[in-house]
Amino acid sequence: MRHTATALALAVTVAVLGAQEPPKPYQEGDVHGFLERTRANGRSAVVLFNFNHDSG
Amino acid sequence: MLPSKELRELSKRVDICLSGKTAPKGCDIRFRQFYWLMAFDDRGELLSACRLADRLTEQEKKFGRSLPEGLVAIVDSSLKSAPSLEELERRYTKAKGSEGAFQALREKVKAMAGVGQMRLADFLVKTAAKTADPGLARARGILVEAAACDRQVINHAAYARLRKSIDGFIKDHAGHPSGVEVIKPLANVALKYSFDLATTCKEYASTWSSVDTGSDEARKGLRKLSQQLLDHCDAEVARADKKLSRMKPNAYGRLRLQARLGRAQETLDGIRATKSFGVFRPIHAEWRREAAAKLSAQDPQKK
Repeated sequence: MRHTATALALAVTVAVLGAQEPPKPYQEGDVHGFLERTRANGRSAVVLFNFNHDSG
Repeated sequence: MLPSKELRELSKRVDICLSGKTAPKGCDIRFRQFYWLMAFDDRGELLSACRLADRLTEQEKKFGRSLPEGLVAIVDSSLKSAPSLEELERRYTKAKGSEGAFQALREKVKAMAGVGQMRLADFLVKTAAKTADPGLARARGILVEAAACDRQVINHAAYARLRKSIDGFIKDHAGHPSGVEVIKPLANVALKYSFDLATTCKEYASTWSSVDTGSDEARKGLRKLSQQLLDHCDAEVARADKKLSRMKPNAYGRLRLQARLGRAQETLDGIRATKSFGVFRPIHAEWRREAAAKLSAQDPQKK
């Protein structure tokens, strides 16, 4: 019974992790907010104009 | 390109934003149908801007790089494009608008394919009072604005703004040596889509000739400028007339030339036969209004 429960919990965890998409390596939209944040964080930034997830 | 591992690696060093149709502040983009890349340093200052498709093709042809590899190479090279536009603006202000500092700003905007050109025009005018020669600084701003106007998709409001800038300069800086350069883009850029160029130029010339300058020299300078504007105008009208005479009846641009030459009836007929769309709507509305007014003035009974 205990083995069954552990296996079930493991299977659920794997399924959840598998279903979660990895975070996108970019932000879409709100370019002004994006630039304010990168400036505040002292990070270099690139903006791709005319791009969205589909066109990229 | 976007789900690539190269992009994931790049994102560890550089933040990336897909901005859709919104350009960052100060990045005026004229050819908005293209893909653009803009790079900012860690202070949020603009280092570089380029048309991405051209640069990616170059990366592929010259170096055999894939799209993701090409993108990473372009970003890396863009981030090395110091000094930023903001830094060059600071240097210009510090140098009180020296010629060298101005040329560095122009070169930067040119290297960025014109992105930031309107922002530069505004900057030059706004900071004019802090420079050694405010008249020259304002003239530079107007000439940069005219260059931006000339390169952009037809924009009725931008042409109107340029006319106002040129007229304002002539009235505020009567007698300044830069006036000769400042009036050059009036006839061939700012009035490119205006009805009846000859009459409009005569109105400007008449207004400028009667400006109360308080100085004989400035008054003489204004009269000379007025005559120069009329000379430019005559040359433009002759060019338009010649071009129109060689055009086929349905050729593109025919209606604009008829409007430019002030041919009221032909302009109204042409507008009736044309579908006004997008950028041309305000221009056609103006031509319609002015052509109708001209016809009414010629034959008041038709009112």
